[in-house]
Order: sequence, then C-alpha cells, then structure tokens
Amino acid sequence: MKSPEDSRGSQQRLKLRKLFRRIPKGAASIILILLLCAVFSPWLAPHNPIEQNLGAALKPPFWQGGGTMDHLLGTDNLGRDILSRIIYGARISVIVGFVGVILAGAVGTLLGVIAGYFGGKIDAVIMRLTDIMLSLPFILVGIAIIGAIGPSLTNVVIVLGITQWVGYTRIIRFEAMSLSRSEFIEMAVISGCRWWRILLVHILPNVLNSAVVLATLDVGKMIIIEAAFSFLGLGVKPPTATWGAMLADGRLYMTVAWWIVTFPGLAIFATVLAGNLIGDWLRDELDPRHQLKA
Amino acid sequence: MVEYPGAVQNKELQMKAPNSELRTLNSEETILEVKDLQIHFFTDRGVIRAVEGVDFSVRKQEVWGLVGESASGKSVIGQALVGMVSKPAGRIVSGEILFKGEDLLKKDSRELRKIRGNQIAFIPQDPTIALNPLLSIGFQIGEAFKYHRSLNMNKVHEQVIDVMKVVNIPSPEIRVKDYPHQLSGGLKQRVIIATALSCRPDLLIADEPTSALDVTIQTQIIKLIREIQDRFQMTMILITHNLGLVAKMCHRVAVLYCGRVVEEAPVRELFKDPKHPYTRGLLASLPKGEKGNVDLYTIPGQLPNPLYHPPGCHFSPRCPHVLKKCQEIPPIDRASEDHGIRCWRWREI
Amino acid sequence: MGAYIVRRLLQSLIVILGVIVITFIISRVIGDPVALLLPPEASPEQRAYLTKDLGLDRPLYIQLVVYVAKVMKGDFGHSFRHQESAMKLVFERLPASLYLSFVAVLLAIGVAIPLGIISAIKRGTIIDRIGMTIALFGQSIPAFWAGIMLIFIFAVQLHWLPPSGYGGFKYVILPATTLAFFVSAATARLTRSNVLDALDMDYVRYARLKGVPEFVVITRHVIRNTFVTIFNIVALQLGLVIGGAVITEFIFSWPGIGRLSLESIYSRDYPVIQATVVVAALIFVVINLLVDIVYIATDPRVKRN
Repeated sequence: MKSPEDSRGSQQRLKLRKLFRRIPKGAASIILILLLCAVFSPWLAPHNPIEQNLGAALKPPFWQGGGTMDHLLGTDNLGRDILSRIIYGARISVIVGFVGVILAGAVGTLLGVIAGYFGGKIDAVIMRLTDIMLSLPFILVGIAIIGAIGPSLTNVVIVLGITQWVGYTRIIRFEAMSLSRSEFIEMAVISGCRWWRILLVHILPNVLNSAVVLATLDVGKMIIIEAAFSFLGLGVKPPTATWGAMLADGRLYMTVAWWIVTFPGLAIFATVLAGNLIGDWLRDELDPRHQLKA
Repeated sequence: MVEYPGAVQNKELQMKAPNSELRTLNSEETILEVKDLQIHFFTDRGVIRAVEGVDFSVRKQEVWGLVGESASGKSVIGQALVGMVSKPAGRIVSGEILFKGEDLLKKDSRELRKIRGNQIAFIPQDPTIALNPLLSIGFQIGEAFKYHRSLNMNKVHEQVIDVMKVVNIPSPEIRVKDYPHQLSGGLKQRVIIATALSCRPDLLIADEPTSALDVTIQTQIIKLIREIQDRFQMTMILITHNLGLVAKMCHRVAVLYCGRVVEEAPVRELFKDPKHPYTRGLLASLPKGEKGNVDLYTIPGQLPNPLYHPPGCHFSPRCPHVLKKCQEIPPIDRASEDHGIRCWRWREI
Repeated sequence: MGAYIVRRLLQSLIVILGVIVITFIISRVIGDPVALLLPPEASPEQRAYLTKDLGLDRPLYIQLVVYVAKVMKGDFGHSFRHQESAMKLVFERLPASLYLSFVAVLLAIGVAIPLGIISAIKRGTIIDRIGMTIALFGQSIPAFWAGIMLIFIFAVQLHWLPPSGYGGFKYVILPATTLAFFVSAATARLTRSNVLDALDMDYVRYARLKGVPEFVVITRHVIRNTFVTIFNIVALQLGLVIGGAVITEFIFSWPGIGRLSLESIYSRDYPVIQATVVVAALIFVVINLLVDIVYIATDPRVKRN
C-alpha cells in the first residue's frame, strides 16, 4: 500500500520530468556546451591557449584560403589558436556568470527580504541605499574600483557582487512585503516564532522563485560586463584567455583578421542569448498564472 | 408530489408585479430572435460547452429576463449578442441571432461595430472598472454618440448633458468634467446607463446591473432603470441571478441551467406556478423574511464540472424526480403558448 | 501633491549625498594623490608640504565634510593631468555625451515603441514572435562587440561611414546605433508587456462595447493609459545611457564624459573621476525626479489643492 509520502514523491518526480521536457532545447544545449567547455577545456581544446607561435600568426579559419584544419577558427596576432582560447574563455565566463550571480543574488535577496519584512526605517535606509547604487554609473564605479585594487578574476567577481545586487532588492522587497502581510506569517508571529526564523524558514523559500528567475536572467548581463572589463584591460590578467580580452586584441587587427573579433563575440552572444531564453522560460514556468495549463 | 421544504406559498410571496405588466404588450413584434445558439470554449483542458442550444425571442418594448447561476452561461449569451465573446478560446459554434431580421453572426466586424452601442447597448456589471480613469465622464458618455452620429463637439456636449439629466445625475454641467474616481458607485453606474442610452438604442442589455453596488444604491438604480424603460418603452434584456430583480422588472423570464434554457414563462406565472424542478428549487431557496422559518433551503448537490456535463438533462444528478429517461435531452414542452419547460416529467410533478 | 514633491526632493538629495560620499571613498581607495603628483625622487619635505596643502593630513571625517561642502558648490579641485578645474573638464565634455545619448534614445524609441505596441496588439501571431525575437537578440548582443562589428562592416568594408570621431550625422550614427541596441530591446519588451496589460483592462472592452472604432480604442484608451509608464521607461534608459556609454565612447573615440572618466581612471586623476561620477549620477537623479513629477501632474487621480 502506498503511503502518502510515496505518492507525493512520485508526483514531484513526474513534475520535474515534465519540466525538463519543456526546457527550450536549443538554449539548454548551448548552456550545456558552455559548461562542458568550461569544465573539460584541457581535453577539448586542440591547442594550448596561451602558447604563442608567431610563425602561425594571423591564420584565417579553415574554410578560407590559407587556413588549416589545425586551427579551425584561425589564430590571432601572436599565433594563439582562437578555438582553444574560446574554449578556455568559457571557464572565465562560467565562473563569473555563476559566482557573480550567486553573490549579487544573495546580497540583493537578503537585503530585499529584510527591507520587505521589517519595513519602517530599515526599509527606508535600504531603499535609499538602493537608489544611490542605482544612480551610480556602475561601469565607472566598477572600473574605478578595479583600477584601484588591481585586475583579477576575484576582483571582477567582487565588483560584480557589489554593484549588481540592486536588481534583486526592489523586486524581492515587494514580494517579501506582501508575504509579510499574509496570514501564515501572522500565525508564525503569534505562535512566538523568532524573526530570524521567520525570515529563513517562511519568507526566504517563497521569494526564492523570483530570485532564481532574476538570477538566470542576470547571468548574461554578468558575462557581458566581465567581457567589458576585460576589453578595457581591467579584467582577468593576460595572457589568460577571456572573450573580452580577445575582442580587445582583435580590434587592432580587424582590418586584416576579422575572425579574431567575430568568434569570441559570437560566443558571448550565443551564451547570453541562451541564458536569456532560459531565464524567460523559467519565469513563464514559475508564473502562478501558468498553473492553468495542464 | 414532492414538496420542497419551505415551498413557496402564494400568499407569503408578496411580489410586486412590474407596472408594465398591467399594460398589455402592444407589439407582438419580435425584435430579437435567437435560434439554437451554441457557444463553446476551447481550453487546454478540454471543451467547455457554455451555451448548448438556446432558443428565445424578445418582443419589442418587453423586459426579458435571463436568470441563472454563475456558470449557467447567461453572461456569455449577453456577450454573444453584442459580438464580444472572448476570443480565441470562445467560439460561437452554431446558431443564429436575428436582430430586426438580420443574422448578427453573419455580419463582419465593421457592421457589428456600427450596431454596438448604437442599436444594441450594453450595460456591464462593474461600473468602476468599465470607465477609463484618465478620461472625464462627459467625454466617455459622449464617445459612443460621437462615433455613431458624427456631430460636432458642441452638439455632442448638449446631448451628453441631456442624457445625464435623464439618469438624474445632479448638476450635470459641472459634473461633466469630473473623473471617474470622483464619483460614487451609484453615480458611476448612472454614467454607464447614460452612455448606453445616449444613442437611443433599440435594445438594451444589462448584465447584472446592480451586483457590484451597495444594497441601498441598488434600489435607486433599479428604480431608475424601470423609469427609463417606462418612459422610453425600451426593449431590455436583463441578465441576472437575482430573482427579486426579475420580479420587479421583467415581463417574461427564461431560466438557464448549465447552458440550456430549462423554463421560460411570463414572470407572474413563473413565480406562481414553476414547473421545472430547478426553478422550483431556486424559488424555494429564496429567504422568506422575518416571518416563516429561518432555515434556508438549498438545492442539493453541486454544479457539474463545466468540462463534463452530464448526458441528457443537465439537472438530472440533482433532481429529486430523476428517472432513467432523463439521460436523454428533454425537448422544450409547452404548458401554454408562453410557458415552456424542458423536462420529461413536468406534467407529473 | 506638494508634499509628495518635497518628499521626493529630499530623497533625491539624500541619494546625491550618498553618491558624493561614495566617490570620496573610491578616491581614497584608488591611491595616494601625493604619490601621483610628485615625481618619485621628491623629498620627504616636499611630500609633507603637498600633503598639508591638499588637506590630506587632517582626520578622515573632516576631509569628508570638507569634500562634501566643496562638491556642493561644484568644486572638485583640479585635474591632475590637465591642470584645469575638474568640473570645467566635465562640462566641456558633457554636451557630446548628451548629444550621443539623445540620438541613441530617439533611435531606440523610434524602433522599440512601435514594435512593442504592434507585438502586443498582435499577440501570439508570427509578428509578435518575430518582434520579440528581435528584441531578445538586441538584448543579448554585447554592445561593444556590436560597435566593433558595425565599424567593421560600415567603415572598414563598405567605407560608408567614418570609424570614429565627433561630428554630425555621419559620425554619430554608428555609436548611437550601438548604444541603441540594448535600449531598444529593453524598451520593446517593456512596452509590449505594458500594452498587453492595458489591453486586458475592462475599460478597453467597454469602449469596444460602445462601438468605438478599434483604431481609436487603441490610441485613446490603450496607448494613452500606458503612455506614462513608457515615458518612465524611456527616461530611465536615457539616464542610464548618459552615464554608462563609457565603452561605446571609447570604441568610437567620442569625446564625451564616458571617455573622459575612462582616461581619468587609467591615469588616477581622481578629481575628474569624482566629478564625472557625481555629474552622471546627478543627471540620472534629476531625470527620475522629473519623470515622477510628470507622472503625478498628468494623472487626474492625484488630489490637487
């Protein structure tokens, strides 16, 4: 005889399976490829990304005259293989995208929940802080900070966390506010629940939905910002391969070697597009109005 | 014969018949005829047959009532009459709606638009959300008029003030510039009524005109609508779940259950001698007032799931007189020329 | 309404103050100005003298107060690189940024708003899908890559337009388009969702019930009611773009405040850094304030005395 727990578990598994069936396939595969590249770069990349080979510099991709199968997407001005650099660059993008989003998301969600639950002066202070951060042109601030503390992957992620949390706070705060007014929170308060427990156990899990959607949509933004920093020379230090730095390098040689600029840019574009598609899909899935569909 | 607990006794029910019942209806002329109307909603979960073969006709200068519970399909019929069934899920699958002899369902959107607001006017349920908060009420009243008559602004303004006076809006010259949020619920409904009247429509359809209002205001509005109907001899279709309203306003009434008309009769007859089990249940469940017992009768059972109507008579699962025969759809039988019942057993019960 | 405006003004003031304080913090983090100004072989006495002269020997909180007071008057000190007042430099470059931003936003809304409206009206149809796909693409393209590719196509390959520099239509069209990508995408999507919400409103239905022609229903009832929200969105984007066009200005060598700030960061010219950040933030805050005022001035539901 099935116990209630059993049937609930199998119901949840059924829901998850249905969920996965509906993921936009194209976007998901791109993200999968990205993750594979990031994790397995040493095995996937045909060449060492930082190894210079001036004799093979500025070779075009294999389908153009002068290209070889050895360097499928060509080489840059220092003879480094473009394809390998892109594969290794995925590492940076993945780290920045995910860690940055988790950092910013955590800070933003926490502040939003606190602001929404406590209201009053605390809310006002957090809101002013949000306004201030929003008014600051974050690129400038980010660049300034990195200019100060030096370019490195860690620093970029820190800067992202510091500047990007604002996007979460407003929305999470709104949800937390309406949640705090709801009856089951009242019940929790009446039954003597301490505030930190209420926040952690009751409110946080319920705003997690929105937070995750926002986070997924943000991954693309993070990757673009990291690329921007690298482009300006303020990201990860060379000669590490990152897509943004490749764009910066390639810019100077654009007239003679269009591939140095095009392929990393396409990589960024594809990744961000996939991230946005999945984020949109996730948001539509989690929208309570979608419960109407069978 | 099954007695419903607290069944209606003629003496206890002090229903005032509408004034116009005393006048005989001069015109036997039909202004609206609906034949075998079928409206279905196609959703992800299945097909909802909201209206399943409804026939009725409305005579000129008559107040015709359509009574039903929430999921009966009455609002959908109202929407269909003005060509505003929610697309894309809702579709009029078959049937005819003959207005002044012409089938509305065969008209294209442009022709329908000319009729809407002009010859057929609609009073929606909730006046608060029907008015655009950013436009003055004078403008919104005159809007229908402007597009159906193409007059210049001064003329429109005059007409707007006139019609505001008809619905008893105080100081219309001043209030014309007001915005919806400045008005009370009752006044907003008067604005809606004024808008409906502005083009002197031949047919006025009111969908629950009082449900969104406070009880005290309801009486005022009902009085107003009755006055207007008396004065302009307007043909009206009243869609409601409120039997009391029907008693006060209508000449004839049709009772709708789950997409089908189950009984149709002149009001007095329906209240005096209801023949369909559902109608009887409805009337029995009316509160009696301070005298009589306070226990309310409710019809046992629940409305069926709109996706899965029972075969045959829709009321059969809840009917105390159900027989095997009720698995077949009963046709409309006539007790008299004006009184139709959709039941196999109405003679026996 | 008056009370609300006062409250918003106060809020804005607090925000500006906060921004100023943050620029102070940043500049102190960036590095020791004395070391930047003097050559490495300078003597300790010279260092001490300059430190005193710049007021850097006083306790931090006093420095902060002095700084804030000066900034309120518009005094950011002198640029380390250019021997001019920092504020003056910023104001010299500001018009270029404003010009670029306005053109970019105009381009963006010219495309995005009609796209959003049409997509919403024709929701679910192929037109909607195409429109939103374009918007999605626009949001996913990194602006600086788009800029580079545009330069490549139009300047290098086709030789139709100059690759960089400041001037009239020829010069501004590429950078403005680059900036416009993201702005239009975001605007199109937001417009669409706002119009969709408006279309669902009962008063739209009721206007149709009255027999009002569809075109009028759309323009008068739908668009007018979404106008303020869309205006809000656009203004916001404008504010963002003015301060944030750093990379675009860099790529196209556009002499605006974005490029100025970049140069100053590279050269540790912190008075100029502070000046640009504060001015950019100020513009953003002022635009927001104006938008709020417009909002309550046009909504008849707000009580007036």
